[in-house]
Amino acid sequence: MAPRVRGPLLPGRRGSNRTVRMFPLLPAGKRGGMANEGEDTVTVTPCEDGPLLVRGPFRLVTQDGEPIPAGRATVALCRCGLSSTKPFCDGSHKAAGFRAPSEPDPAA
Amino acid sequence: MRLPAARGPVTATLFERLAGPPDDRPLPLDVTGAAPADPDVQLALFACYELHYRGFEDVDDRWEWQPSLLAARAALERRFEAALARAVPRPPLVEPQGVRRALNELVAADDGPSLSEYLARRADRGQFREFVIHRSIYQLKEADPHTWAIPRLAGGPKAALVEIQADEYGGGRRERMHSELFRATMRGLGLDDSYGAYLDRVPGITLAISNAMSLFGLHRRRRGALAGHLAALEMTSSLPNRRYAAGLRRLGGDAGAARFYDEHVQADAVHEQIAAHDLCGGLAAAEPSLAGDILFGAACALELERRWAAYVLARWERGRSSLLETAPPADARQESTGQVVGLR
Repeated sequence: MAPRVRGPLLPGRRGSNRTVRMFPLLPAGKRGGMANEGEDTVTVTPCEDGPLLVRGPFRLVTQDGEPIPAGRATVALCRCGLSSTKPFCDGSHKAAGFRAPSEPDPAA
Repeated sequence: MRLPAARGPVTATLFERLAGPPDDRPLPLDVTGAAPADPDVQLALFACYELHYRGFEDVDDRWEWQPSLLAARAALERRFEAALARAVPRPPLVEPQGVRRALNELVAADDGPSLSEYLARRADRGQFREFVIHRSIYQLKEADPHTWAIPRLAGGPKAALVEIQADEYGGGRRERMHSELFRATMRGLGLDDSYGAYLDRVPGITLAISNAMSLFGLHRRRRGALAGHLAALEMTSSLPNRRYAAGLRRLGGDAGAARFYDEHVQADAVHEQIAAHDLCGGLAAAEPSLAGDILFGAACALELERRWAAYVLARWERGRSSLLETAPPADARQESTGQVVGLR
């Protein structure tokens, strides 16, 4: 199990006191449950020919630690490099014909 | 919302009865001679369905389940389903595990005219307002038709649909509900954001888009088509919404007005993955007999959108409005404009 830190998740955010994993990337497999609700696992799912879906009690931050508002419980992060709304997916992978499997490549 | 003006003999008969107390005298609607996507038929069907959503202030709520009304609605639905079956080729049958790929191929093969590119680069403010008025028929109840499927699904597909719908409804926060964001867009364009305000102004093909969702949503037997319909909407949304946002900003729309479109770029990039894989793929795996209807529902969404876009662009290219100029007279036999690209 990854180590975890307990304590305020985001400074100044309504006294939030949730649990956050330092290294939240567990093998994607099962679908995540309702994000942020009684679950402390973040799930990242590479979608075939598409983005990375992120579910669970994640937080997005810049390299300087500034929060990036996710806007929703489940987000799609760009994996083709072409999105105009990075780090989020905007569907550009389809027009570009981006190809990538959901499974690890090469197969482990 | 109040009952709209009748657009022909079918709606004239129906609305006259709906204005009175519910009863079980037969409600014979003569739809045999009408083209199935005749605006008169589409408006009648739309009104029957609306009884299941927000209803009409001037219609007794008990009409919703009145057998005479349901019999009349069934006659309208038979015409509409037959029209859809003729207009939309049934996609080739695939194995359940091939549904996701088949959805991708359907969407990729969609060669409809690009209304979004026109709106991004060329439309004037009046045309953008028209576009928003058309869309208001569905988007002021955005997500509601597909919510009908939730109690009809189980397990993974149900969880997938709830995940999408929860986001559509703003995660339970009113100001983030997509229908509320759309109201802000309407206000930003100086339009009336009240529910159903423009029902009298839209042609039959616009009503047909909403009616297809309600048809699939209100009949459990069409749950596969409803799932496929949702997937098609989500899979064809992100890039056009980026263009809508660009068009609105080009025309002076502020961030509040454009937010609806900005929101859909990112939201639907998430939803399309869930809808195609977890909802439709999962449903086909759980109920393999639904695979064909999942793809048919998606094809219906694409075809109706294509016909609607062709209709709107054709009107604009001729320098005309894509809306009815005024409420149609109650005795109008048919609205000729809706016939151009309507389902026959």
